[in-house]
Amino acid sequence: MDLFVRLIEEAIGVVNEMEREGVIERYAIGGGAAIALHMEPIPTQDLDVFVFLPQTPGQLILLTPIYDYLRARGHRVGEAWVYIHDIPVQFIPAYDDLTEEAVDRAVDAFCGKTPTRVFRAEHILAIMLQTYRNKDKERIVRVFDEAVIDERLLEDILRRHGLWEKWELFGEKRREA
Amino acid sequence: MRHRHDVNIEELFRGKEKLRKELAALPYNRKLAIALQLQGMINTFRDARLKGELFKKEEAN
Repeated sequence: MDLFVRLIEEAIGVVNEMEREGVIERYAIGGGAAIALHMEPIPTQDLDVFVFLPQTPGQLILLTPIYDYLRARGHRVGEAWVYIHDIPVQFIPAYDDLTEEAVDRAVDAFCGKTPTRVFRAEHILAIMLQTYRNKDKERIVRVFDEAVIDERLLEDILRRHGLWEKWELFGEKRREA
Repeated sequence: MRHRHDVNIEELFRGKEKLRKELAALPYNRKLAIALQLQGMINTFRDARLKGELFKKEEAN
């Protein structure tokens, strides 16, 4: 367990280096790995790293520089994930206003002694409501019940990103169940 | 006749709630490790079930 914990810290350290060296601009951890900051850990396949990427001439979003950087340092690039110190990591370019805001307003945290940034619980809830897979629906209930939620902030986020009606509908369905 | 165990369900739930809070209070690095390892265990179980290995083990037992 201690070795595994250290590998996770080192993997996040590599992501920090990528940010310092300009391979990525700003990043924040999202998904199940972000949920772990706010409540008891739930199973997750990987570290989801949401990133802003440097502008490219054609405005195309390319992950190739990330993969090249990691390959050059001996990390394995697979089909679904890159394995940084054997920890599965998925780089996801912030893809809309909501995920951009989640990266911008992520909270500072420490993974051991390694600094990092993690999505706020309110943004995690909003993104899960947006993606709305079966696992998201289950997680929404758990995160809302178990994490400390600023409900005014959550409502503000949901209203600004056109998710408030969906949230109310989700609440109604849950009450009926 | 079925034997009914004497279980204090409230105490059982209190125990689970206590464990949940203890897990939530762990440092982030430990919680990340648990989150990833839990999924690893689920994947191992699922793969074994898909290969029929769990069923074979149950038969052997």
